[in-house]
Amino acid sequence: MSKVCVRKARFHVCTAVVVVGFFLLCGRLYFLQVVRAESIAEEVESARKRVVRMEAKRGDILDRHGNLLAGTRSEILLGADPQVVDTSDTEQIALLAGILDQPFTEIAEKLNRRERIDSKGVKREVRWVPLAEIDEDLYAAVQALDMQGVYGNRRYERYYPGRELAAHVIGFINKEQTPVMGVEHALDYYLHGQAGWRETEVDGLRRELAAFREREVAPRNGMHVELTIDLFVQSVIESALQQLVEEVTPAGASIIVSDPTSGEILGMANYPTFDPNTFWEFPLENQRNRALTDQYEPGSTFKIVPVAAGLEEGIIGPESEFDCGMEVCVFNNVTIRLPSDHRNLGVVPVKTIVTKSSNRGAAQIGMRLGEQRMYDYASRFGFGKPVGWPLSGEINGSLPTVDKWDGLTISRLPTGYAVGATAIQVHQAMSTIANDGVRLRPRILKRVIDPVEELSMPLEPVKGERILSVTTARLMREMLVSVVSPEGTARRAALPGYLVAGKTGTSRKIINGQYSLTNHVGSFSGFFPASKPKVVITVVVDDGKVSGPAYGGVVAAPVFRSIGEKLIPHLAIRKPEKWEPFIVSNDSF
Amino acid sequence: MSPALQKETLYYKQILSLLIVLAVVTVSGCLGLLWLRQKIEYTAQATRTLELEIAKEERRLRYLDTKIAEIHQPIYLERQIKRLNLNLRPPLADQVVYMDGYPQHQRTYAKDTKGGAQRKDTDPFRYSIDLAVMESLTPMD
Repeated sequence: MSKVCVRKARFHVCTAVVVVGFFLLCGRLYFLQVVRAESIAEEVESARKRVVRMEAKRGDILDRHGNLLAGTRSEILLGADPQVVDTSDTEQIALLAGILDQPFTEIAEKLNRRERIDSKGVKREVRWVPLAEIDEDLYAAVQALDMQGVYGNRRYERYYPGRELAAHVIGFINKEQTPVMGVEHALDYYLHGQAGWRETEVDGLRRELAAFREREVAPRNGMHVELTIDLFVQSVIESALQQLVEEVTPAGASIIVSDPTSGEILGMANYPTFDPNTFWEFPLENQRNRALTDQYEPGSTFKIVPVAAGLEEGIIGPESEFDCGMEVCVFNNVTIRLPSDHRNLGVVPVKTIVTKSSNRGAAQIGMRLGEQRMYDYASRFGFGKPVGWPLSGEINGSLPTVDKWDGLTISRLPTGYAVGATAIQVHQAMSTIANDGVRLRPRILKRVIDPVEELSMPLEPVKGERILSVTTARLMREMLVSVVSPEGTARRAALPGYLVAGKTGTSRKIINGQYSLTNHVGSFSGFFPASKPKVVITVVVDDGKVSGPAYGGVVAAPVFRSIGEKLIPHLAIRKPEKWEPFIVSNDSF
Repeated sequence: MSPALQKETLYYKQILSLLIVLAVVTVSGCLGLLWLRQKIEYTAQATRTLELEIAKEERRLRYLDTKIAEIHQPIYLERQIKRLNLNLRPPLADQVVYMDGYPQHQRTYAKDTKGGAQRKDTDPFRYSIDLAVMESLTPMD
């Protein structure tokens, strides 16, 4: 073996350095590969891997004919990077201002804002200036300009093409994407769908490397919900409501239209209303579905309860006579003052009591029924308890139990005072008469449609409850037809050629704890054709401004007529009483 | 050359050939893998592009749906009628003439649409004539 010409000591030092170096290297490798292996692997994974959430499309809300009431569409928040935009190109900026329908100076000023001072007083470059929220059409026009530094961020928003149309029924989604009210809230479970996800890898510029996709769970879009609402009917009642507001400027109003045989709500509108697309621009109280949340004393529309109860119990008949000239009456050995009438009707049959809406007559019928039976029938008609509205927000109304009645309640309740009812409760009571005595729960949800499986799940109606015999219900109908006759209180609700049945109601509002002489709630609830009802319409007008008292026959009955006239051709409601083929009828009432 | 040397040379040649074959197979295998990987990458990119295209089309479709719904709103149509001064209005009750459908025709129709959605016999639009529309189609002078 040849001898190396190095000193022994130097050789040992070098060897030791190399050995220590190797040990250090091994130690570092051990540290990285064993001790910190997991955290480093996680770090690498997090930098390289991405779990991308894939949002599901929210289901649409449709009317009974498949018309879109609520859908989802993209909206673009257009903005610009002032550091990149060429502000010397005024022609392009002018074109952009034209597309966005904004003043040139405003746009130019935004694009020239290149610096800002942050909260610490440090100058910073501005990299994003929002310009406008635009739709796809406008964004396409902006993209066609090919302006450098001008771009949009797309997001999905709920869109309600009918704007105010059925706003209280449909509800809305707020900015946090939370369903707030109406169908949006109640059927969110079906509508929202299930988001999917994808595990993938990205490059240094965070662009997806599609070849390295590992796992993927596809999103499942939300289901569509079909309502019983008819877009045309809804539009008709909203137009009628708008006209009513222009004419009598009420504090509030509600209109409900339904099919009495199925309980399906064809339209429901309230005033004041709101646009769910821009809900934040309206007062919060406009979002209240007054037909369900506001109770009022129904007044004479409630008289259908004591009269129907009396007929059902067999204690009165249509020709039974009552003295409506009486001012006082003895009930349970106590003398009770009867409510007043507009004029002394004298001794009249029950039919006239209904036609002329006599308070004294109704009070006497109530007394003949007795407190418990009066209460029981009011309760069976649905007063004082929820009607079973499938969406949230409904109130019970108020119907005190007999033990809470004072001495006068038995004379006031049959006339529609001392009871708090919602418009939907009055509507339901009238629908019961129209439906031969069977009370149905109102239906607003028709079916849920799964667009993926192409299946539909009908939301079946709940079986109704019979509260009156067919004979009683038909007797009531006959009497209610006379209300909409030249002798009745609702002659303005008459529809030429059709027999209309209904009842007006006018109640004084309680202002500062007292019944006001000038503020009224006027209402009309009726149906037609009386012999085979196809549609029930209820109109409630809160504090309409007219010369004289805002009677139901004055403010609400004409609205009923206006709506009815438009519904006849749309719903193809024939004249069952007088039908002649191929002859155009010009008969007038 | 001695036979022993010849044998040794042959032996070395065989080893060399084997190494060359091994190298060729390895290199071609690697290249093949690379080609395959690239193909996967292209396909993935194409899929991604298609996905983006589909998403874009779906977005446009959704936008179009809402636009159509907006245009179909009765209120919008009324406004358009006013704006264009068309003087159109919905038919009045007396302008609709109802005709009894022939039962045999209804049966034929039902047979034709076997398996599909069947129209109800009571469907009003099948038997009604809208006189307002007829009026608008008839020359006035």
